[in-house]
Amino acid sequence: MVESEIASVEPVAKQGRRTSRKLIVVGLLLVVAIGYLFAVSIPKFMSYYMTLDELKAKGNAAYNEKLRVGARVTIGSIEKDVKAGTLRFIISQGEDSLPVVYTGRMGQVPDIFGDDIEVVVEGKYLPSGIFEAYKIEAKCPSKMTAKLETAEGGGQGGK
Amino acid sequence: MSITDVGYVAVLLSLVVAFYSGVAAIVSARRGLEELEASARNGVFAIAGLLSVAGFLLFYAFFSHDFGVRYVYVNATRDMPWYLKLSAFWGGQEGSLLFWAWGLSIFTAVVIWQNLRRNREFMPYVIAVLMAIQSFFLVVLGFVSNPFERLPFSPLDGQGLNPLLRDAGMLGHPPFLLAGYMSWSIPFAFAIAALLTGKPGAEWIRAVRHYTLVAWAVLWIGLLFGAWWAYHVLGWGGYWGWDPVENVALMPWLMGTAFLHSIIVQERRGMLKVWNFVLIILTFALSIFGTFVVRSGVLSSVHAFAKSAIGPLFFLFLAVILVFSLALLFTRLSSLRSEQTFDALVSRESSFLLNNLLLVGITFAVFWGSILPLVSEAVRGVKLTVGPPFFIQVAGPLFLALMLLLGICPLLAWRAVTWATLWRNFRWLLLGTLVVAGVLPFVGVRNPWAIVAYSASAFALASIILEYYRGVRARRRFSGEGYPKALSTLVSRNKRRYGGYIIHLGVVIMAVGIIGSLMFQKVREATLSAGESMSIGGYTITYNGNAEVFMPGHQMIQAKLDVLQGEKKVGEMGPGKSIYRNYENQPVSRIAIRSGLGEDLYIVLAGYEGNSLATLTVFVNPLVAWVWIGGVVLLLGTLVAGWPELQARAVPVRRPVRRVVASEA
Repeated sequence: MVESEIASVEPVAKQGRRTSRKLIVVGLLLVVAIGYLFAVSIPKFMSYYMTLDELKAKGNAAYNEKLRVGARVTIGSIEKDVKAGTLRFIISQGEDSLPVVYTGRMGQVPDIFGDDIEVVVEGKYLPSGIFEAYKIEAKCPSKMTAKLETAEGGGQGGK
Repeated sequence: MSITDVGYVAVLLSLVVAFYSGVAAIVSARRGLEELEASARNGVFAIAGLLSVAGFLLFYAFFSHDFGVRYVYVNATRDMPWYLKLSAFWGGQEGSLLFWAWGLSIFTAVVIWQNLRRNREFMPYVIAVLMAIQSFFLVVLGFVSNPFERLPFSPLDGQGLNPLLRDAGMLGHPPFLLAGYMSWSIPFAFAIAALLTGKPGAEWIRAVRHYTLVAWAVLWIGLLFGAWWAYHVLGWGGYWGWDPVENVALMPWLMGTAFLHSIIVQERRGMLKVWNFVLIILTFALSIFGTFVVRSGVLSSVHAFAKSAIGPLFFLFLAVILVFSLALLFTRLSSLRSEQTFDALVSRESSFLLNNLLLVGITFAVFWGSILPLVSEAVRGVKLTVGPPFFIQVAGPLFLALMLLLGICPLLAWRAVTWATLWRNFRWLLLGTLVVAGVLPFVGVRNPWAIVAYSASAFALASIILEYYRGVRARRRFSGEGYPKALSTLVSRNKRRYGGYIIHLGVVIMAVGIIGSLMFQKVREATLSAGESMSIGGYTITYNGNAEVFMPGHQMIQAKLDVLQGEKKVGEMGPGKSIYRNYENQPVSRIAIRSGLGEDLYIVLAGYEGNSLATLTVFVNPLVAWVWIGGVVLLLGTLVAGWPELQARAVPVRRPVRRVVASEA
């Protein structure tokens, strides 16, 4: 496509270079802005993911950090009181186990949550040895993975 | 041998034909053998036929209850209603991949058919690229993930689709999402063909514009259905959770949006050529990434897909795509010089560039946020994850900037802007925006971010209306038509431009809904005994005990609720939990939603005991309806913008810069 309106090529080219330089500056500013947003948001919102044995290995150092811990719900450990609106359970992995108190809304507990379900609990590990979770995510039980290995866009919801 | 084995044979034959057609297409182009190219084309049509046979046979297996097919056994039961049997096709990995390949074969055939006389130089290479992509999927279907695999015996009934997927929404969401991913193959193939033929000018851009719009719209429908499904089925009160599965679907759409904008600049000004190639390559790569990443097990998601053997294969494919395309682009750099330079910092084209940077910036933010666990583990040995607040904080301001740009862009002329004309248009919009910002606190919007976001939306809306008004006015002056006639001629003569503004209008409407539901959601949870009430946001909800409802294949516990708004009874609602056969320990919430244009009342039965105790989680979600309305408006706009131009052939080349724009501004 030829630009017929351009009368003299020389000055335009020079001006174009200057404009390009300005545009590059604007672009860089934008990149810096995005980088800045990133740099401040990650520490603010990140949580460490670890398995239960990693948490135990960390010991005291793990207290009061924002954590996500993956393990399995111990069979028979769920104490749910619908009336009082409380939910306590134990998660375990091999030899290690950890009591969990759920502080979030009952409506946000995944439907699938139950005995022997693989869960990720998000919250804090208190010095009292209890994990205070405000969020529970559940993975589908292994006996159902055959079906769920699929589920384009679907799968286990229940946030 | 069973009839479904024919499906498997069809897949294998397709693979052979795809390989042949790809090679034949390249040889025909190199040697100028037209008959060989015709043969390659016939191969493409044959694959569409063969995979249609395979696809229909899989449907047949579902509807004839052929539980000897493992895939049918796993995903269906006898008593599932027809629409679930239909959606069970893509309920699993094997079927999803078959759907991808089948869809691609049909799209490819259509593209070849439409281009029998057009884009002759590109077509052999387009065929070759598409056949390479097709071959990959056919290899996976044939040797790793075969939907027609038979069990050693034929069970009488199957296990059935996971309860969460037993929803009519599954009819729409997965196929559109998969088709959306798949259809980016077409513009990608044209891009590679343009590079291979050494004609990376404006021709390929013109050739792919409509295909790009189709891919973009189809992926959009997939996203919209997904959000709709999450809102109506998952029961956490929202429609977008920034889960990796959602993010990977959003990324190609954002990148594709950038591409759709930047090709306009290339058409008009002959600039951003390399950038356009990069965008379409990345969009396609993100589509492939989206197709497989959740199945590979590398990103953990609440959508708990099991790890699958196809992960590494897909990574390899992705690596090949990226290395090959970017290397090819690199070797062609010298022929990709811009024909123009930017004349001024403030101009239409630089606002397009800024829009591109923002869209790509958002995509990268979403990408890094999603893969952060992988990166941090590799770099620091710890898995860091971030949740929705992170994405909202990072993407929110960028979307806000995008919204402002959406309002400013139409005010800017191509090439350069005179400040006087800019100010002439700008002052009214600014005034309108300030009025809106001033009024908002008095109608209850006091959150400063909400005021900023709504003012930006008002600004964008005003700018769209102004554009329409100026167009209609100019049209009337020119032809003396009445307003309705002038409007319809205006739009039909400039479908791209005014269709584009309708898309923008859809975006603004959605923003209104998103800001409202994000910032003003109310939620309360309470455990009630029969006869007790709770109130939230002006509603009083009285609980009248639980009822049991029996349905084929499942039963439902339902909480009976009376809902009052103020003093007036507005209806009864019945949130519940369904329990399905074979999935007794996975009850599924049945959410009760009362939708309105102002707000939705959204009730989840969180727990129950006996028949007179229930825990209810109640959300009041303001303006959610506008998210769906905006989404549909966006789609209508796409339809207008992409509507075939009947007199297209009479106007061979678009004028580089339309005078209308400059003189109106």
